[in-house]
Amino acid sequence: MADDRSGAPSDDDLVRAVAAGSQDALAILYDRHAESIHRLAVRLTNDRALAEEIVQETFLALWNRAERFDPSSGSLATWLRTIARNRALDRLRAAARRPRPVTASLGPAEGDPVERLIDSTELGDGTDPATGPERAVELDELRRTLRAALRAMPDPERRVILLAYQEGLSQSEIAVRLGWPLGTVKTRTRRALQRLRAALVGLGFGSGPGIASAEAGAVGPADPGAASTSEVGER
Amino acid sequence: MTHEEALELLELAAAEPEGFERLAAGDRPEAAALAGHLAGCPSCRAEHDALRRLAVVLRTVLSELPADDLRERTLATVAALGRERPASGAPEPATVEPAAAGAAPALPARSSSGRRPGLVRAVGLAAAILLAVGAGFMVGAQTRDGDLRREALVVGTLERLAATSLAVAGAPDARTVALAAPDGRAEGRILFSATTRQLVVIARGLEPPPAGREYRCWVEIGGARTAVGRMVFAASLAYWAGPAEVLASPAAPTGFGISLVEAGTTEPGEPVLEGRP
Repeated sequence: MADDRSGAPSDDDLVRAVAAGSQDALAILYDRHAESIHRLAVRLTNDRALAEEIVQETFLALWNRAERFDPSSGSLATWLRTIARNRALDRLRAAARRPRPVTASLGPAEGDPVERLIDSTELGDGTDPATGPERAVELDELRRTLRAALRAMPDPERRVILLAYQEGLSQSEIAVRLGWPLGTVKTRTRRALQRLRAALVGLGFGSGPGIASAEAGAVGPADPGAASTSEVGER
Repeated sequence: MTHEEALELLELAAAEPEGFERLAAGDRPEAAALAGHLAGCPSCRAEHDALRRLAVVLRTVLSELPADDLRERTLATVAALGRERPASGAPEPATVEPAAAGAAPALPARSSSGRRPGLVRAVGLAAAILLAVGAGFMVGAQTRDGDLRREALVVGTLERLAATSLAVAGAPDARTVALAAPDGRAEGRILFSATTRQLVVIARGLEPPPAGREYRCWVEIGGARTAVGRMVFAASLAYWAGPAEVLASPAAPTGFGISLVEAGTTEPGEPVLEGRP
């Protein structure tokens, strides 16, 4: 059955195509659901590297077990989120027993990560009950606006702004990472910030109640402002 | 301090970790100058408040967006580690069967390379190794107090793993075999070629081995298993690649696997992942 609004194939159609071996169908499903899965994984683990592993494993599970998806039992989004949740639980339990040798943490985790996972109240469809459906629509609009603004941004500006906000790097660290002069990094950072701000102002999230409202509804890290041989292996 | 100078400091603080907190501390000359300017400039105070709110929104929303290359890495991983599907060896349906006639548009047809299916998967495996190990290296590179020795090790293994994978993938008899675990929590894939006598083993989902134990990969021929090498962990992958003389046997391999064994033993042990050609 096609999506009534866009004429695009429905998730159910695409899952059947995946079961028949279509990697293109899998790619479309990735485009539809990966961001939501990634967001859930980041919130559960507070670790972008771990979240990426969970996204990869979730779509690997979709490919391997597409026949098991039963649309009458719930939406694909719910099914994928359940898989991601279980993978996150596995990883967090394993991480509780051993240190991670390589990590790109978003900031200090608070409390027992497994408890955080169990206590997570986000609904299967991605709606956060703490914010409600109207708030979720506003946040979705905010995300769409920022994605579009990022896509439209010159690549150098996009790189610095993502390193700043996704990886929490300082401008000096970005300059070292990219091999650019510090002054260049600062100029591009300011331009990028101004573009994002302009995009948000244009949709009513400008300097004032809009952004204040978005801040109140933002969910994520507990303290978003925090700093924040011829062979491989051995015989 | 001018309005423009104040705005520059505020915008840069908005993109710095704890930028506004450091400005508020006032322990640098420019921070003290800014504090003085803000005290007498309502418009710049408004900018300060707006930028501070903007920074919170951006840090929250952007931190949850997936990396640009995650799509490519995910699809390559699925191509390499996913189960065999008809598309690998049989014509792929070009369209999704619509429930109602004309309701669903055609899916974009997969490009037809005309290459041998096994080679397609083998190259996919090599690509996944490159992407996955490369991503692991990049994560390591981003660790502020990163272990340089580990990074050098990962770079070296990446070079050898990539070279071996591409060499095997290019062999005319290159084949892949899926590895599966009884509980489904781990999976892997073997890439091998009898002509090159080389083997690449890659697995995901394995727990790092407890002290005193290690994962070893093995090849089974005619019911006899021969241990080949010890699996190495990097990022989320466990892998091994190199020559496997057992592949020179005139008889074809009947099975492959990975076992958790006592460190140093050459016995294959009970498999945690296993697959058959």
